[in-house]
Amino acid sequence: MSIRRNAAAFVGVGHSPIYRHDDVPLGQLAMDAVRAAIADAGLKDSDIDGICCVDGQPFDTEDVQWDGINYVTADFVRNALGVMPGFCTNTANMLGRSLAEAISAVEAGRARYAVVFRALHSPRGTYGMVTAPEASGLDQWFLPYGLFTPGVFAQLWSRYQGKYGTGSREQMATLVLQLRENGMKAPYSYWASAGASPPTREAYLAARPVSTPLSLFDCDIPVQGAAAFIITSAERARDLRQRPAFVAGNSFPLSARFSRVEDIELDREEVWGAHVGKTLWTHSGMTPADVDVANVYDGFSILSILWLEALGFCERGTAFEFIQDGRIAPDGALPVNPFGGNIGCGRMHGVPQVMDAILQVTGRAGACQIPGARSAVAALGPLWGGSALLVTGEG
Amino acid sequence: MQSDQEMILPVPQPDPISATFWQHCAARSLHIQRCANCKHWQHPPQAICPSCLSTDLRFEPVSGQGTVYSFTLTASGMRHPAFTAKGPYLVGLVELVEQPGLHLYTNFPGATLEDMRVGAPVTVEFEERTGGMVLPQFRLVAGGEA
Repeated sequence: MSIRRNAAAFVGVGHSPIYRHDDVPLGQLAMDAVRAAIADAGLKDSDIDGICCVDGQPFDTEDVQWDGINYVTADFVRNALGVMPGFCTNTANMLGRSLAEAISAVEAGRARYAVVFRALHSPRGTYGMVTAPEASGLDQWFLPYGLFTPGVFAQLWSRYQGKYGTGSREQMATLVLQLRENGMKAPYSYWASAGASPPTREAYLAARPVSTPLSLFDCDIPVQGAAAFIITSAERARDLRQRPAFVAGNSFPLSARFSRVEDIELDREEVWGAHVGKTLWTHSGMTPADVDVANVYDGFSILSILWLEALGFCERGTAFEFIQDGRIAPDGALPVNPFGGNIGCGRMHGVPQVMDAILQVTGRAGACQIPGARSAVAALGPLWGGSALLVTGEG
Repeated sequence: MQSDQEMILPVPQPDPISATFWQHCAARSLHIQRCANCKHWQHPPQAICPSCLSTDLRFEPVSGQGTVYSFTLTASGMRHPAFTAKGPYLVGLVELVEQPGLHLYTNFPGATLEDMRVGAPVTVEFEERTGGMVLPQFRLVAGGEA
C-alpha cells in the first residue's frame, strides 16, 4: 500500500474568537473562520470547490437544534459561500474524519481547494441533561448505573493505574499545568482571552474531583467558536500566499464513533491507538524520532498520555514518567501542544492540535513558535476511532 | 424544582434483543448472550454474532464471578438529577470470568473508593429499582486480593 506523500497541503487557516457562551449564531462564527481561511490563503470564495465538516456537538439534548444556530453543516457553508462544489461531506466523529475526506478529495482531484471547518456551540448551563425515567437503546446498559462521559475517560486512567502501577495525579499535574501555561500565549485561547491564569500545582491537586481520578482541570472547558483550514494540491500550494504545510501522513483507519460501551476500555484504546500510529508511520515513511512537535488530543488529560504511547513517542506504561522534567515544554526535547491544546484553549475538539501543527511547520506560530520546527503530528479524539495527521514544512 | 419523576434513578427499557437478559435479572439470575455456533459470549447482546455472523444467539447462565476492570467515583451525577442527588457514587466495569473482554457495568454496592483495586474479585447480586426493574450489581468479595 502506498499513498502519495506530500501530494496535498494546508495553505490557509482561519479562526473565530472563542467565547465561553455567545449568542452570535454559530453559522456566523463558522463563516468568519471560513472567510478568514480563504483570505489567509489568498483565495476567493468562488475558488472553493470542496467542503468537509463534522457537525456533531458535544451535547445532543438541546430542545431546538437549527443549522446555522447551534450546529453548522457543510451545506450551510456551501449556501453562504454561494458555490457549487465538486465534493462536499458532512459527517459525524471528530475533525480528523473531515480532514481525511478533504485530503483524499484533493489528492484524487475531486476538489481543487477544499475547506474543512469545525464549529462548536456551547449552550448555557449544564448541557446534555438526561431526565427520562427509562433508558433505551445502548443507554439501557450504562445510564441506570449513572455512567456519564467523564466517567468513561476516568476509567481509562484508573485501569491504567491498576495495569501499570503508575500514573498519579502528581505526575499528571505536570502535563495539565504545562498545557494551561502554553495556552496563555496561544492566539485562540479562551483562557488567554479571559485573562485566567493557570492553576498552581497545589490548586491542581486540590481541585474538585469530577470523576476520579479526573478533576476539574483535567477536563477542557466548553467554549463556542469555529475554525477552518484550506487544503489544496502541493503543486497549487506553491503559488499561494502562505508557505504550505504538506500532508506527510494521514491516518484515519477506523470509522468508529465515541461510545460509552467501547471507549471506556483501556485495552481497546491501546490496541486501536497503536494502529492509528502504525498506519501514520507506514503512510508517511517517517518515525516518531522525526517529529518536532507532538499535538496529542487532550479533551481529557488521560488521552494525551495514551496518545504519546500509541504513537510510539514512549513505551506503554511509561508516558507519566516521559512527560516529566521539562521534556514536553516548548523548549523541551518533545514539545507537546505548544498552543495549549483543548485544556489550554477550550473545548474545540482537536482544532488546537491541527491549527498549531500547521502554523508550527510554516513558522507562523508567533509567541508559541518552536524554533526550527519542521514536522508536527496532530492526533485527534479518543483512540478508538481516532486519527492522526503529520504535516511538514518546506525543505 | 425537579419533578418527582426526575428524582427517580433511570431504569433500563427492554427491547426485543435485551428483554431476555432483563427477564433473567428479574428472576435474580445472570444470563449472558452466547453464540450457539462459535460459543462467543457477548454483552451488550446483539442481533447477530459479530464473530461468526450466526443469528442463533441464546442466553446462558454464567457464574456471576468476575474481577474489577476499571472504576471511578463520580462526584456528581452531572447530567441526571437523581444521580446528582445521590452524592458521590462508584461506577465501573467488571470482567466476567467466562471470557476476557466480557464486561458489565456496576456500582460496586457497599464499596468505598479506598476498597477499589483493578483485578479485585467480585460477585453478582441484584438491585431492584422503583417500578420493579432489576439490575445486576457486583460486590467486592470480602477478603479478596487483587
